[in-house]
Amino acid sequence: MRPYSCVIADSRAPFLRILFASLVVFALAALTLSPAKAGVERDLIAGLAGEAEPVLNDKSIAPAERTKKLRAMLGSVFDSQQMAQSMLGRYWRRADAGQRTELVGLMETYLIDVYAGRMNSIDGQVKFVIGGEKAAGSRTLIDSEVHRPGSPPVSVAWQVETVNGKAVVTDIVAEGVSLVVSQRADFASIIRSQGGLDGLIKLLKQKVGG
Amino acid sequence: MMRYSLRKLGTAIRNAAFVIAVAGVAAGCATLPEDPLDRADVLAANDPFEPANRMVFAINEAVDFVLLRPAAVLYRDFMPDPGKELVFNFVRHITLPLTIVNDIAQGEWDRAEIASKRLFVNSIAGFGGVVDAATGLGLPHHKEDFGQTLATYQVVPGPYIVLPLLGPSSTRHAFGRIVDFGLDPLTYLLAKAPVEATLGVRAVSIVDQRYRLLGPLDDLKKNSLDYYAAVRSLYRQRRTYEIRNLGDEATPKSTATVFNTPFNREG
Repeated sequence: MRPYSCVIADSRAPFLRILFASLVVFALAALTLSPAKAGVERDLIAGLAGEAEPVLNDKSIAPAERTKKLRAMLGSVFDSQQMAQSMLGRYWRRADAGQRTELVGLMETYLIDVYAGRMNSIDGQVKFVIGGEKAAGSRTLIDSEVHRPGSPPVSVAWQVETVNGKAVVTDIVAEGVSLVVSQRADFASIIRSQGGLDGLIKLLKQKVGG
Repeated sequence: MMRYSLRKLGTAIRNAAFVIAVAGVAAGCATLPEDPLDRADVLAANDPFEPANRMVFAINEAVDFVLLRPAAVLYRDFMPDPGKELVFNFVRHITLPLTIVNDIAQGEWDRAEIASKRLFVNSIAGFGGVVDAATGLGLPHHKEDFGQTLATYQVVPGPYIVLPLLGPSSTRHAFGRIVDFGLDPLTYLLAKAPVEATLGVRAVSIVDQRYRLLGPLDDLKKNSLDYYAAVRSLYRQRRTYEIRNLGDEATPKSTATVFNTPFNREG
């Protein structure tokens, strides 16, 4: 009885040889393609962390200047179109083209303001540690921890998706609390009780000071 | 005779309370909207007592504004950091007996063992719980309550309820709180102690907790459009996270969060 591998390599079994060869090709393709693909999402978060850390830790930068820098950083990684759509949930379908454009623009400013403010309010030296990741379909979750002296690390998971060939952030989950889920609840309540989508647009305008 | 009339008075008060509660619930009940989108949304929020809840929420907010938040701010500004740490350790320490009871009720033997060892180590080497010696010995802290135990037995959370003074809850969580009071060995220990001890311990726990929430709640209030709806969503998400034991130190973080966080996408 010959070992199985010999049967595959045997010239008398051309079918098995072709099958074996194609399996090798598939395996190689999978090996070379998948880490490269997963790397893009990870690189995006690692890049953001690497860029934000010195800006947050350099106390010589004036607060206004720091906020400006953080806004620019967040603006380049957030996909506001995608986020606005998931935050409005079922109401997105009801919005007309004009309302959609207005909402995406307002939400972009609003989210970037909120997150730049949140990052700016962290006291002391900050360190971001990028952890594990999980992929499902077009989405990847990248785990990270925010370390500050004197307090336990805060877990922050970033949902990254590839939209139009570009890796972008579509949700942030901090200690189990999702940005998209929270905002959806907040916005839905406003839409229901304070004049529909136009009511929401009006309130968002007040919030971002527009 | 005296005892009889007291019992009668007790029954009368209970009946009155029941009537008021029923009337309150009936008055507070929201009707379902006609619009199908709105209707789906209202059902998803699972908050049939919203008008009553909003009222209690507003009263709680007022109490928080005049009493709890100022106390937490004073505590933040005047208690030195080492003092805060002693308080934090002690406040966590006294929740351990209840956690052990609930770990056992959940069949979580390993976690019950960790919590028991932790209680023992910190009671002695931690000077009655004010110092955390156990975490360094591989005995991390975690917390369980009866609401979480019910959740592990597939009991649904039920509608959202805002409890007076206690804040966001669900029918399951609120029921769990009552059971916890009876299950908690601390209740019986404190029953023998002077009233001041009970009040002191509870007050310290509340101030420590409110101090820890200063940042998150101020942020939420500033950044949300409807603070009530934002708190409701935050409560639900945090509670799910706690029930799945993802937030506690006994679960390794790097593996826990990502592998158990659902992807969020809808519509």
